Amino acid sequence: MANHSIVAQDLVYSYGDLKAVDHISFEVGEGEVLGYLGPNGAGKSTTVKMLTGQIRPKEGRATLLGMDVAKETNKVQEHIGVAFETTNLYEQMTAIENLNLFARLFGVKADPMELLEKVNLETRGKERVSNFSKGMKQRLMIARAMVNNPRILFLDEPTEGLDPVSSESIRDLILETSSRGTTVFLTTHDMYEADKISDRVAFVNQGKIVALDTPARLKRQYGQRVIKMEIEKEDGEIDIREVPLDENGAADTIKQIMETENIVTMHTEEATLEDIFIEITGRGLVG
Amino acid sequence: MNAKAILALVQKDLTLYFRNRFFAFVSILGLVAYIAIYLLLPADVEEDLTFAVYAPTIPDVFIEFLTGNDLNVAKLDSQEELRQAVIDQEYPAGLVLTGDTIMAIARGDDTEITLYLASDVPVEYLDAIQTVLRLAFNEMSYTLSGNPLNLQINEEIIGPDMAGQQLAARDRLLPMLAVMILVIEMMGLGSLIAEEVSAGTLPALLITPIGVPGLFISKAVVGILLAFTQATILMLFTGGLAWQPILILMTLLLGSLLVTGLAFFIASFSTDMMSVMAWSILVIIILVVPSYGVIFPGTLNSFARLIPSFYLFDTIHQVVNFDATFSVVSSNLVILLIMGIGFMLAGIVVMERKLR
Repeated sequence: MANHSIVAQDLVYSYGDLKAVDHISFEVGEGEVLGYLGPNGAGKSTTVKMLTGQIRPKEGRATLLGMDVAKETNKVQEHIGVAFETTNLYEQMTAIENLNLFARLFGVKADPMELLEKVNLETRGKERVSNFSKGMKQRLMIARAMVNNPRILFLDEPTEGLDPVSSESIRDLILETSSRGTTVFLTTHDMYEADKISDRVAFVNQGKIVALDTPARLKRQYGQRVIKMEIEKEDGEIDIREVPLDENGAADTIKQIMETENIVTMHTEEATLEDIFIEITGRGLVG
Repeated sequence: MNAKAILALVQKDLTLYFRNRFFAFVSILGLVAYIAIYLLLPADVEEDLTFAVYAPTIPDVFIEFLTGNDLNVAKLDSQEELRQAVIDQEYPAGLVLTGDTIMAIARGDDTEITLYLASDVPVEYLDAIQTVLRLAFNEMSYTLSGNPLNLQINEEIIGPDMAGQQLAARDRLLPMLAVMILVIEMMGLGSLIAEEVSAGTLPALLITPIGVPGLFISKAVVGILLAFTQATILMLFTGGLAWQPILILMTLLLGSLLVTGLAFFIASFSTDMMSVMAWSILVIIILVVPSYGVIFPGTLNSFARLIPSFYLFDTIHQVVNFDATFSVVSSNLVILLIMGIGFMLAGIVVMERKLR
C-alpha cells in the first residue's frame, strides 16, 4: 500500500472554542478500508467534512489522490463518493431519477440499473424513494455514492439501524468495492463492523487519534486472550470462569478444572475493539 | 380528558412555542413590522387642495379668498412654468389668471377660466377643485361687485389625455396580480432551498463538482424561470402583453430577479417550509403595500418609493393601463435593475454564509 489515496497532515478544526479535530494525521493506502471509530462527538464527521472539501481545515492539510483538498476541491470531488449517515435522498423522486440526477451532476454516464443491482434494488428502480424502507434508502445512498465510479468512498455509519441481513449485504458490497481498488473510509461506532471489514482501524477520541493499526495487532497489543468456561455446580447452578491464557500456569489451571469440575461449555475469547477502545480511552464507543 | 389535563397541554405547548427562538423572534418581528407599516401609512385624509396659479398681477384679496376656501395656492412665474409643473405632476392642476379675468371676476361679469390638469388626476379631485373654485370666485365677485358670478370652467388635460380611459377594477388589480405571482414564487423558491437544507440533500449536492457557485446559479435560474414564466402566462391571458410586450417582459424579468434575491434571504433565515411561510408573509405584506397606490389612487405618500416593488407595480401599471413607452418608465426599470441585482447579491452572500 505504497500509494496513499488519503493523506491527512496535522488537521485541526474547531467550532468556536470547541476543538473538534485536534492535530490529526494519518494515511490511507489505495484499496484499503480504514475504519474510523469513535463515539458521537469524537470528531469523525468533522474529519470527513475536511477530507471531502465540505469545510476547510483551520490548520493542516488534507491530500486526496495527490491533490490538495482545500485548493482543488472540485477536482477532488470528481473522484470521491460520499454516503452520509442520515438519509438525504430526494424522496419524491424514483431511485433511478436520484441516480441519474447525480450522474448528471458529476458529468458521468452511469447505468442506474447496474448500480441498483449492486445494492439489490434492481426491482425497485422506478419506485419513489419515499416508499423505501430505511435499509433500502441506505443501500440507495451507497449506490448514489458510487455513481461516479469513485476512487475513494466515504461511508458514514452505513449500517446504522439496519437489520442484520441488510447490514451484511452492505458489508459485502464494501469489501467487493475495496477489492476492485477503491479506497474506503468507513466512519462507524460499530466495532463488529469495523473489525470485520477494515484493514486498519483508527480510534478517535476528543478530536485526537489515540490508536491506529490493524484490528489483529490492536488486539494483540491491548487485548487479553482467555478461556471461558461454564461449570455446573452440585446444586445445578452454572458458574462462569475465565482463565487468561497469557498468565503463567494457565495450562495447569485449565487441567485442574477439567479434572475436578463438570464443564458444560468451554471456548476461547479475545478482546473486542470496544474492549480495547475502553481500555485506551476509558469510555465506550456508544454515547 | 379533564380540564386540568387540557390546561397542562396548553401550558406545555405555550412553553415550547416560546422556547423556540425562531417562532418567538418572528412573532415579535411581525408584530413590530405590522405596526410600523400601519404608522407609516398616511393617517389623515388630505382635505386641502393644492394647485398652481400663474397671474401676472393678482391682488392679495384674491389669494386670501382662495386660501380661505381650503385651497393651497402655489404662485408660479410664467404660464410655461405652470404647464410644465402640471406635466411633471408637481401639481395636479394649474390656473392662469390674466388681468382681464381678474377684472371680470371683480366686476361680476360672465367669466371663463381654463383649468390645466395632469392626465392622471382622480375624478374626486377634479370635482372638489371645481366646486371650491366656483365658491371662492363667487364669493369674491359678490363681495367686490355685489353681483353673483357666472363662471365657466374649461378643462385642459396636459400630457396624454386619459379621457375615456377610466380603468376597470380588474385593470387596476392586474399589476398587483402580476406582482403577487412573482412574490408567491419567492415563497416557492424559498421552500425549495429550505427543504434542501432540512432534508439534508444540500450537503449531497455540495460534494459534487457543482459546488456552491453552481448551486446558486441553478437556484437563481429556477427562481427566475418559475417566477417569470408564471407572470408571463398571467399577462398573456389577461391581455397585458397586447401593447408593449417587450417592455412588460423586461419588467417581469427584473421583478423575477428581485424576488429570487429575496427568496435567498428568506431561505437563509428559514429551517423548513413553515418558517419560509412565516417569513414570506411578512415580506409579502410589505411588498404589496405599493399596490394600494394603483388600486386606490392618492392613498400613498412618497415612502412607498422606498419599497422595491413600487417600481414593479408602477411600471406594469403605466405600461399596461396607459400604454407608457420605454422613455416614460426607463427610470423605474433602472431602479428595478439596481434593486434586483442588489437583492440577488445580498441574498447570495447571506445564503453562502449559511452554507459555509
